Amino acid sequence: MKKLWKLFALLFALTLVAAACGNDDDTSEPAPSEPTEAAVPTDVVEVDPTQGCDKTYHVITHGDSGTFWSVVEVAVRDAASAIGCDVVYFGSNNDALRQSQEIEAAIAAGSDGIAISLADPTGVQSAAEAVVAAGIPLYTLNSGVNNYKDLGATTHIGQTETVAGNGAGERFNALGATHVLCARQEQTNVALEERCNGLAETFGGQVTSEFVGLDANPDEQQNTIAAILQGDESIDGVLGVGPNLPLRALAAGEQAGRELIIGGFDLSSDLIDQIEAGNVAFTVDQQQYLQGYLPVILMHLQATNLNTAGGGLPILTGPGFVDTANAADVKALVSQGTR
Amino acid sequence: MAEATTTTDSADSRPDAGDERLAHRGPIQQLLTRPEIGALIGAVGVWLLFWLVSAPFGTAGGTANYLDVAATLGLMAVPVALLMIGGEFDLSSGSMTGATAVIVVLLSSDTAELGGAGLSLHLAVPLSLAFALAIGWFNGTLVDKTSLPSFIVTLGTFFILIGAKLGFTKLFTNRVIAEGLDRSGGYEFWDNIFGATWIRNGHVWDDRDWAWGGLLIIGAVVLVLGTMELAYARREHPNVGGYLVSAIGTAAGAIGFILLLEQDGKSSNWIFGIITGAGVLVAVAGWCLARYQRAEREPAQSEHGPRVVRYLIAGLLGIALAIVVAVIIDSENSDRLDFLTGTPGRTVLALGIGATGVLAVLAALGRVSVGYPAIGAALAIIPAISYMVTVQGARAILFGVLAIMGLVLLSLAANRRGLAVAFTLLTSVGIVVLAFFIQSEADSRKLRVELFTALLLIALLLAASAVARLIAARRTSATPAPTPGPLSKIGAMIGLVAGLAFAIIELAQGDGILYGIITGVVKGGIAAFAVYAIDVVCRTLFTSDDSVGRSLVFVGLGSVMLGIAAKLMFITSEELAATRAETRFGVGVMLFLTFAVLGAWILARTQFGNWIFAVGGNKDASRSVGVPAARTKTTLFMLVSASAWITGMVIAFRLNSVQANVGDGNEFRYIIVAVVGGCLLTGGYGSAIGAAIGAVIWGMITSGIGFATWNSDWRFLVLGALLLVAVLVNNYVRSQAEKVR
Repeated sequence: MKKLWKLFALLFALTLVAAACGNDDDTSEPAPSEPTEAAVPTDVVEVDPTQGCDKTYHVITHGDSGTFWSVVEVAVRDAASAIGCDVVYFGSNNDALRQSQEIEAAIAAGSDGIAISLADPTGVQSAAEAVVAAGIPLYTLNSGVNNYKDLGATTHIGQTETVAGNGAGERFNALGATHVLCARQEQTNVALEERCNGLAETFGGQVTSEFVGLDANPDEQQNTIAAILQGDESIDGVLGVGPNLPLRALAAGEQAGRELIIGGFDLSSDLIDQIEAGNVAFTVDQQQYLQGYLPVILMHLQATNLNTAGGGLPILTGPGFVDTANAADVKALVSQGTR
Repeated sequence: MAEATTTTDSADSRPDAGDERLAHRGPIQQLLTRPEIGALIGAVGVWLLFWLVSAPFGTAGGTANYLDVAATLGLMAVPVALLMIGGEFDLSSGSMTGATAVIVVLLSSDTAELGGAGLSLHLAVPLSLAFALAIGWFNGTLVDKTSLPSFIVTLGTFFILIGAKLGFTKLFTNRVIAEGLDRSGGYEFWDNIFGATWIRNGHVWDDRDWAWGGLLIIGAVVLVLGTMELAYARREHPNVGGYLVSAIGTAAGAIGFILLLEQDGKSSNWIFGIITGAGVLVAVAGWCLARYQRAEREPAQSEHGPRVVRYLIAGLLGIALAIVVAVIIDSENSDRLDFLTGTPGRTVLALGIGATGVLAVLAALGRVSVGYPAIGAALAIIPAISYMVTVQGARAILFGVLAIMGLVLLSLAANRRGLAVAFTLLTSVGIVVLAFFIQSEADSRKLRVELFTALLLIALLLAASAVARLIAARRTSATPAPTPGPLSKIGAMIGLVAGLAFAIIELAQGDGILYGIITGVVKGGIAAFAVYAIDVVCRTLFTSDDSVGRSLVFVGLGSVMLGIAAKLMFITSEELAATRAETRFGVGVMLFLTFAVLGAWILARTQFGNWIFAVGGNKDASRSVGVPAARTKTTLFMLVSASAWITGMVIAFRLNSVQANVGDGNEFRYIIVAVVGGCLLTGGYGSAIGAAIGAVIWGMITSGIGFATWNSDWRFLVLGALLLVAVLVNNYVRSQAEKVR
């Protein structure tokens, strides 16, 4: 009996550990295909100092070194060379403390403009307020659409999940779907729920929103989608709110013998291949390149020309769409690292 | 602990029973004491539930769907169950499945920027197996050398694997997905193995229904004969007259059945139905007269008194109420009940939840009995019922509950009066009534025809068992171990020759080596099984061999399984024209079923199986009687990793690209499924077949919720509740069955 209890205690402890590991995707960074537990060290990119500009800008995010943030990083570098100024990029790898310290260091260094992401708004709040108090223009990017105003940022550059869902809904309207299954790969992720709710807002027909299994169990995802399709004959479209689910929906459609209009979220090269082949109709792309490029340009314009963009509203970088028309071009751009 | 109490119990209740190891245990009781009984009952219940609420669930397509989910789970759950019986856990097993897949893709693909190793798959696939085996050996050796709990050791490997998967994937491809397996060298060859699928739509067999129906009937008959053989004591010289009666009954039953099929949809159906039923009963009676000793009339242990009368009255009342309910409540009304909504509903809900909590505390303190918290829960459910159940639904539920309660009470009364046979007959009649009620009420063809037929068959079976109990005497000593008959060896030879012949034919037709081998093995196996079946039937009919019961059960089960396989794997041209869906069975499903059978065979029949039980029960004790404990455990760990490799290959060749987190967290599913299948967390007890059934339950629930178009938010609630029920049933049934022993 004692042995049994010990085992139970261990099992319980282990569950906690597993829960703790599984849970660290709670930032609002909307790229669910990117587990953020990578133990890759944070990195600093110094952009070449160029002639004719005495300003220095900082872009300090919670990003890691995954595909999503590497595009942002490339965009920051491109914008820096466009304006010819020093821009420092720093990704804190989901460490709010590191991010705050870096922001404070930027203030001390006399930055001319700071752009930050607000994955953990309370964690970086004091640092962000210090930026505004020091009279330095503040911008937010990627996450933080609900908090940028309170912190005194000029504007926010990013995509809201609801608007992205809205865009997908209009696409399905145009493609003539009547009943769309909004398939989710996580059960309690607010961002994914918002995508489905956004779809239901603009889509003219019926929307069924279901959790179909984790990305860790691809076979379960496919079979569950097939089961739902066979359970409800009226479903003629599937929106997978991640880059893997559209591919599972495609296989499930074959299994259930149904012609489906399939949409997805984010990019992967398998997904672009299927879009190019015409099997998947589109995928929603939040164009994170803009989230790196625009803040730098806007900060530069505010510092040199006193322009304030946005008019108090956020600047949306998406939804952009990848469909048969531009899949081939986007594919080339993905390998270039700018999509 | 349980063992000790049951021994004293049986000694008290049956002083003349003698040594309990030699005492006879009936086939039903043997089944009930199996570790997988809870899972089996759970599986049947879940299947029935989803079969009732969803049209596509019971079809071949639905079966392929949930078997596919079950396959990747069960491929691991079976070896994990063996490991658990051996007293250890492997927490790295889930991430290991993904790790082998990632390794193969990384080693073989060279498409990404940094590039994988670009090896041919002929090298990459065996390398990943070597890696898996090495990790398994490492786990096993470390657990053995350090005597640390395997929880800790494999927790370490678990985290290492997760980190390594992600780290290496990103290092090589700069993404979290490793892609491009189908562009690797040697892909065709390996895809033929791990990506093989059986496409049902491509296998048309118009006479399939004859084959499947025939196999099912033969299987059922043989199963019944086997069960009787296990339960009743043989006569010394068979009574030929009895056989004659039996033959006449069988003929009558068969003629009735054929006429029944011919007369489909006519009003004279019930005449032929009765002829069939009577024929079967006469056949059973004749068979019992011919083979078994006559039952002696025991002095009825009847119990008079108020208790029996109360049962009787309550039972009659229940049935009367059920009829009243069926008559007065509107069967067309599909409105919600809505008797308790708004603020009162919420109040009752809150009261119920509060009461559950308070009563749970009181129960924990020992102030009230353990069952009391259930009262609070029942109170909390009332508003939910008001919200969810429709008027017609309430009618069906009330009728069902009342009728079943009434029948159970009546049967209890009969049992107390020593009228066990009457009780069985009564239940049989009750089921017939229920069947006709359903037939007259139900809207769907599924209920009217299929459920109706199934219920009638169950009633017939019960009636037959009552007849047999009236005539035949029970065994008093344990059944002797089966002795192989003369035809068994010949059967094996014929199977071997047939298998070779079929393999050569397929190879000559150019169907590929793998397909040829599998076809040869399967067809040879069927040929050998057929010869074995004939041998068993001959031994049953023409020898006085007392031990054929088990063999008969085996033949019956095998024949039923073959029938189901035929139904699932082949399509008639009629069905093909009507469907758009493509039903596929991946190689994973085949491997899963093979694993389940192999696991059961290892546990039951091999020395290694005995070692597993021994080291799981007590490692030191087993070592001191000469079991190589360290080797056994390490082998088990390596078995688990090797299965993880197979699972990983199946996933990789299905998807062509593998995300780094594939399989993470599944180790708990394997353990849960094994526990549902009857394994103990403490080791030394459990079943491989049970784990396989547990995996199928899991698959049925995840797919079934989709088929039934239920809201997936409740998925884990349903899953958790059903798993708990399965384990509780397992526990209860086993403790009851062992008490009788």
